[in-house]
Order: sequence, then structure tokens, then C-alpha cells
Amino acid sequence: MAAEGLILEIQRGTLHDGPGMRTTVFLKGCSLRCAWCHNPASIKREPEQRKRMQNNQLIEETAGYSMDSDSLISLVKRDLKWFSSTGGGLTLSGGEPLLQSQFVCEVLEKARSSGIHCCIETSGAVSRESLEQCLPYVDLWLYDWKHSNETELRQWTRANLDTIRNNLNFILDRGGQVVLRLPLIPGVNDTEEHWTTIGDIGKHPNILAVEILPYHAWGRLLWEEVGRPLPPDFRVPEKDQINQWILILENLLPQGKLKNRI
Amino acid sequence: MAAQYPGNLDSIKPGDLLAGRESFRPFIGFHPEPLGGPGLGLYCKEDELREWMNEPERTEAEAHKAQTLLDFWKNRTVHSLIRSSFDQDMSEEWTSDDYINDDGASFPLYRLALVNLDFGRLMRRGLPGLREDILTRKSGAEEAWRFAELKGSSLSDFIEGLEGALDVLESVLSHFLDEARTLAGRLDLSAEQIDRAANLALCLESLLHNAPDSLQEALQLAWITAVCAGTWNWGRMDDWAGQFLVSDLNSGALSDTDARELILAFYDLTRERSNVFNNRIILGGLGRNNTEEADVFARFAMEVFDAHPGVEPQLTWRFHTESDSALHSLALDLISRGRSFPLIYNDDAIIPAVASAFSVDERDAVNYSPQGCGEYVLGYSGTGTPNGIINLTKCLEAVLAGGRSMMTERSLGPTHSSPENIQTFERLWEAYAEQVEYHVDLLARFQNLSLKTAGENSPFLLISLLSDNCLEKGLPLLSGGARRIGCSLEVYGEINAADSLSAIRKTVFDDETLTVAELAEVLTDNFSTPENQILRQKVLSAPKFGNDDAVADSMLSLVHNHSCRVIRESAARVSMDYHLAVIINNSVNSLWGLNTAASADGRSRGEALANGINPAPGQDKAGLPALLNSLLVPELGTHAGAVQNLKLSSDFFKEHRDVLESLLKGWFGQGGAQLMITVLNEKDLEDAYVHPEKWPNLIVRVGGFSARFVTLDRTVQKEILDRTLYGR
Ligand code: SF4
Repeated sequence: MAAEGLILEIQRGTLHDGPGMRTTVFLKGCSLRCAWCHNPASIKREPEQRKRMQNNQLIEETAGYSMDSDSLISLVKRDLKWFSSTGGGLTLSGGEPLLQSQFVCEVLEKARSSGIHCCIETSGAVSRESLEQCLPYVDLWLYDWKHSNETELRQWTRANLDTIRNNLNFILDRGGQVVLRLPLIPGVNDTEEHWTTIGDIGKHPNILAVEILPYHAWGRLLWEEVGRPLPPDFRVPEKDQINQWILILENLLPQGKLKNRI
Repeated sequence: MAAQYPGNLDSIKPGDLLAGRESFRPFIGFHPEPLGGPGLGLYCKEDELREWMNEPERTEAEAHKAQTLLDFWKNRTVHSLIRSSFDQDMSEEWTSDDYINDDGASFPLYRLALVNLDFGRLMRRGLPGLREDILTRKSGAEEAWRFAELKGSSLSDFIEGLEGALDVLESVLSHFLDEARTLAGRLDLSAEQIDRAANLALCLESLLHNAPDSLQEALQLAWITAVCAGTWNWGRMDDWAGQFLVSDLNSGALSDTDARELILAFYDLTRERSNVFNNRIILGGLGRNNTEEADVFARFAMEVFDAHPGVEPQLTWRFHTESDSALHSLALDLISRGRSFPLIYNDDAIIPAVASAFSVDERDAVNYSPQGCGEYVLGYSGTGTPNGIINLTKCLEAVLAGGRSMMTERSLGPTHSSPENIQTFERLWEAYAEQVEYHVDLLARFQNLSLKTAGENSPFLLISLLSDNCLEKGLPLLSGGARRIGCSLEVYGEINAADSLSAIRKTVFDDETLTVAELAEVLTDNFSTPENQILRQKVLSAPKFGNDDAVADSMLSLVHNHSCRVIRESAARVSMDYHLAVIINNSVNSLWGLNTAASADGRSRGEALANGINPAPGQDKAGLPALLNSLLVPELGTHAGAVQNLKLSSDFFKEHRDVLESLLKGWFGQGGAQLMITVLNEKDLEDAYVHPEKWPNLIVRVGGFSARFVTLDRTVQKEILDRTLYGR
């Protein structure tokens, strides 16, 4: 029996979640509560009702559905030719995909046996077992690095910094290839401590790239869709400020590692 | 011809590099394809003339003269001769030719369109050489006549006609030569203007005595010849003009800048003469004679266009696996900058498809030219004019309404039994096929009739002279001279018909939500009542082409293959070499939409029909790879061109150029034939803001995340819009 996963959305033809043209599968369920979460419908670990705008009309729909690994793989395989021509593949994102590690592992294994390049986007706030289970099948990790201060990280996301740091080191030590992704929120994590830490981590040869994701207010509106109270109103960084961050990071990181993918 | 040229052409202006502006569009004349009215030889644009006559500033004498002309030409134009030869079926089906305002499932068109001249021969021979060829043919023929004791024949008329046509060309050149000389002597002009006029005079004079020997002479001769022949397309220009460009550059006769100015001058002439549906310049591709020089010209042609963008000429880039990669990349650069051109065509897929559709071998297929709005013609080896249009969505409408239009209740095609009797999908399909086949047969007979009538009345001398075989056979183009005689048929509403059939199969026959008769009522009602609106949502949610959905895509195949096949098979019945479907992009899809009732795919009354073979607007929701998979479904080898579009964000080009290039390479490698790529700019985003339903696949980057534009809150959409307007 193929394992079932709880899926929020599948996007075919994504360009921003790893190399080439990809299919990104957003899995539903996350143990963190980032105040700036850009995808709040992916937090709850079960289907839920949401209201959203479509063609300027408010529609109500169920967010989340289950799918077994075989059906998912057969959908993903429909784009094999585009993966091979563009060097793309499959990205499992979320929420936190590794909360459904059995399903994820099965999907990865099947994808790999069809020669599909696999990425996982993770917050790192997951069990060591789940990482270990999936590690052999992952070509590239998209690893979030949200904050470098233990207390602040917990306050803003409920995450434990040690877990995230240790898990990252574990992946790097085991030869995993990593792109570090940095959500940057003015007044939250644009701190000296954060920059220095990123600079240190970024020196590791298995950190292939560091991407910055400057905060945008768009995610805020999605909280209403799933009936959650609005998160704090963070300041959207100006272009100048983003450029300043880029300068700081470029100085701290080995040359060419910083990717500004806005 | 002598009555029209040089009289209809504008004078040379100071500073001109080329002569022969044509801005005047006479109401009456001889033309294969005049704009604004039916053509095919002797024509009279009655509607335009009537409008002119009724303008308030007309004097009584002018109005009277116009009326006399209208009366005189009423029964004398080729259009009226064709109409008066209609058989009963044609007269009943086509009570009018006005496909824009009147209701119908098919209409005839009157023109000899998409003609390519053999510019290569024109360049090699020049006017004196062509005259020599005619004389050689004449003396050969005279001997043959003596031998076979043939007397007074159409051959001698034809030969004399050809000589006359050359006389006209020469008189046009002489006329402009005089003008250029006068200009060169004018003291009020600047030194540069005088210089240019003097050069132009030399160029014109040389063309009277020699074959072209420079880029200016080549462009000048091609222009004058095409204008006098009444043709709008430039064939494989890189191949016929490339050697002149390269030799001028090498000899120092032209600097790089001079050459660009000349090419621009040619573009300007096409822009002033304006015909946005034509004016194709084909660059690249297999089968060119002077590949290296042609590639140099192709680069210049694209760079000049890039520096001076416009909607004309329609640059067309044919490529294949061995194409010069820098040129291919340049083509994509232009597209990425939102130039809309060049239009790109994949020789590796198209040449075998053309060979199969036209039943020719690949040596002929290699000279295919994408013309007009996307129709392939076989170079200058035969006709390929699209002289009919058919609306497949309207055909289905007629079936659902028992053989009538839901708009005006006029009868359409064969009589069908009432919709109550359609109890199975198979029965529905049979009735639909019968309706389509009726119109196709009628149009095939019409195409044959139109070319025959034109042949009896219009020799099209210059076109004959510069088409394969006419001189050799001694016959005008449409009177047995052409190496091949064929037509294409413009097919509209293919996608909406297919999606409608998918929706009917699901809602009527599988889910049994309503009967065919009830559906007909819902469509006639245009989904206006609340219950019918709910039904509209149901049919809208049925599978649609463009989503990599096996059910919808195979329905499209069924509809596509059926119409292509029956059109192709009709050629033999009317003794044409080919009669092929073209599924193209132009404005007919929206104009015809206005006269098409609501359709079972959820399209409302009056809404545009889907363009070419592309998903109905807003119905491709499964992402780009899914769309690309679907676009590969319709078969290639049975038609003469099907247009497919791709709208990409400019980010895709800017930030993911490598992915895009490999994606296109992959798509064409999978057998994709052609793509019209639109790059979204600020204006498109504005449109997406106003009509989000049309842009379901538009993905934008928001603060590090990508999102479908339509799912974003209005304020965020606005913000993205504003941000983009600032050029980010
Ligand atoms: S880890 Fe991602 S999905 Fe989970 S709460 Fe944070 S931002 Fe949202």
C-alpha cells in the first residue's frame, strides 16, 4: 500500500524552488508558528476551510487533500521531459514536509528511481530520524535560516535553535548539498548576530548558495483566509534597505554565494 | 497595370534611399489582394466607394461619377463574376459575404493571398534577363507552333502580356529615375539629400540595364516588382539579399551604418504601405542557397528591427538543430524585449509535416514559408490562398439548434433532426461531423470556382513570371501555369468546439445533468437565469484543453484531426493539389465570437473564440509544463499551419534565461512546431489587474515567494503593478 500524504497545493512549472523548471508540492502541516508565515494555510495538519479571492470573487474551499505516493509520482512524471531539458525536478515544500517523513521518503525514493532531481525545503525544526530517512534521496536541501538568536527565534517562531543548527550540521557533515534561505524581516532578524552567524555558516563548502527573501506583506492577508488572527504588521523593507543587506552579506560570504532572488 | 503604375505611387521625398512609396489605395483596380474589399484581379471596393460618395463634402458631379462607376463595375469585377456562378447550395448558404456582421458558419473569401515571388530569380536575372527569358521562350514557342501548326493561341497573348508587364516595371523605374534626377538638381536641398537622390538615380538607372549588383539595387527592384505585382510578402529575404549585403560590406561600398539605414528604409516602405497581416520576411532555416551571407543579413535584419521596433515587417525566424546559435539567441533577445518578433518556426518539425500535408517531398517542403497569420505556403511553387473560413463552434451550435443559428434562427448547413433525438454522444458527433463536412465541401467547391473564374479573367502577369513553371508552360498562373494549385481554409472555434463536446459528454451523457434539448435552451438563453448560471459553472468545471488532461486533449485531437482530414481530402474532389486547414491567429476569432451563441464549454454569447490552437482564455490552469504537454497533442502533418501562443513574464527571460532556452529547446525537440511568444510587460499586468480571469497562469514574485497573480488580494495586485511600473 502506497503511503498517503496531506497536500495543500501542487504547482507545475515553478522556477524559484531549486534548479530548472520544477513541480513543487506544498505539504500541509507545520510545527512552527512563524509570525510572518507566508503560507498559513499550510500550518494545520488537517484539511480546513478557507475563503479566498479568485477572479475578484470570494470563494470558499477546502484547503488540503490527501494523495498517495503513486498518484503523486505519476503526476510528477508527466513533466519528466521538461525536467530533463531544463535540469529541473521535484521540490517538496510546505508547511514542513518532513513532518510526513514516511510519505516524503516514499515519494523521494520513487522519484529518484525515475531519475528525477529532488529538493526538500525545510525549516530544520524536525526529528533527526526524519532527516536521516530522507537524506539519501535528496539532491538539494533548501534550508531556512530564520534567526540566529535562541530566545528571539523561539519568540518569533516557537523553534529551537539547537535543533535547527544541529540538523543543518548533520546534513552538511553527511555531504548534503544546501541552499540557505533567509527570510529577512526588518526589526526582527536584521541583526549583527544574525549576519555574523550566516557568514560563518556560509563558509561551509556544501552551502552552495545563500538566498535572501525580504519580507513582504502579502502573506499577512492569507492569515485571514484561514480565519487566523492577523499577525503583527512588520515593516516591508525598502529597496535601499535590501541593498544594504546585500552589501553586508556579500562582505561576509564567499564570493558569488549570495543570490538575490526577489 | 500600366493604368495603375507608376500613377498610384507616391513621389520620392528628399532623403529617401528607396523609391516607390505606396500609400494610395484606389477604390477600383486590378490587384490580387486589395485591402478593404474582395480582390482576385479586377476589383471594386463598393462599400468604401459608397461611403466616399456619401461624404458631405462630395460634389454632385463626384457623387454621380461614383454611382456610374458602381453601376459599371457591378457585374464586371471578378468577385461579382464568381458570385454569379454560385450553385444553389452556395447561394443558399452564403446570402452575404459579410462575415463580420452577418450570421453564418462558413464564408467565402475572394483574394489571391500569400503570394511569394521568386525574388532569387528576379535578383539573378534582373529586368533585362527576364526579358531575355521571355524572348527565348517566345522563339522556342514559335518554332513549336510551326512544327505543330498551332495558330493564334493564348500562348502568344501570354508572352505579349509578360513583355507588357516588364514594360510597366521599366516605366516605373524610369519615372522614379526622372524624379531622382530632378531632386539631385535641387539647390534648396542639403548636401546629404542631394547625394542620396543622385545615388538613387544611379541605382534606378542601373536596374534598367542590368541585374542588381548592390543591396540598394536589390531592395529597390524587389520593392517595385512586388508593389506592381500586388504582393505583400518578401520570402526568404536573407537568402536573396544576403550576398548583396555582404559584398557591399566587403567592398566598402556600404558601411555597417549605411547598410542598416538601407534595411530600415525598406522596413519603412513596408510600414507605410502597411498590411499587418502580411509583410513577412523569412530569415534562417534549411535549404538556403547562400547560408553564410544569409546569416549575416538575418543578423542585420533582426538588429535593425530591434533598434526600430514596430508591428511590421513580420520578421520570421526559421531554425533547426544546426542553426547558428548566436542568431537563435538574438531572436530570443528580441522576443525578451517585448518586440513580439521574430515569430519562431522549427524546421525540424515543420518540414516533414509540410511534406506530408501538401504531399510533396522534403526538397519542396524545405521552401515552406509561414505567411500571413501563420499559413504555410510552398515558396513560389504554387498558390496557397486561404479563401474560406469556417467556425466549428458555430457548426456545433447549428447541430444543437436543429440546423439553425441560435442567434438569428437562420438555417445553417444540412437540416438536422431536433435536439430531442440526440440521445448518445456518438449521435451528436455524427451530426456535428455532417455539419462540418457540408461546409468544407461547399468551401472546397468555392475555392476551385474562385481560382478558375479568376484564371479566366486575370492573368496575374508579374506573379506568373516570378512563379515556378508558368513561363516554361506558357500559361498564366491560374490557367494551368502554376506548378501547384491549392488553397487553405481558415478554421476558427476549434478549441471551443472541442471543449464544448467534452463538457457535453460529461454533463449530458455521463452525469445526465440535463438533456441535449435542455442544453440548447440554456445556451440560447446565454446562461442568464440563476439556474443557468449554476449550469454554466458546471460546464466550466468540465475538462478543458491546455491542462494536460487526457480527456480534454483527446477530444481536441478528435475535432482537430477530423476537420484537418476532411479539408485535406476535399482537394481531390475539386481537382486541387491541396486544400488544407490553417488554424491561425488574427482578429476573426473575436469578430466571429460576436456572432456565435453561448457555447457548452461555458463561453458566453459574443465572447471571443479561442485563438489558433490555444486553450480558451483563462482555461489553462495547470501550469506551464501542463500547457506545453497539451500544445504538443494536435497532429501536425495534416494542415498548413496552426498557431500556438505562449505568454511569459519578462522575469522568466531576465532571471531564468538558461531555463527558458533549455525549455524551448526541449519543447521544439519534442516536435513543437511554432510558438508566438509574448513577454508580459506593465500593460499586460494592468490587463491582468482589470481582467484577472484571463490570466490564470500569471505567476509573479512577491517578496521572495511566487504567487498566482489572480489569487492575490487586490491591494497586493495593485502594489505589484505599481512596483513593475517603476521598472523593477
Ligand atoms: S516554517 Fe514555514 S510554514 Fe511553518 S510557520 Fe514558518 S513560515 Fe509558516
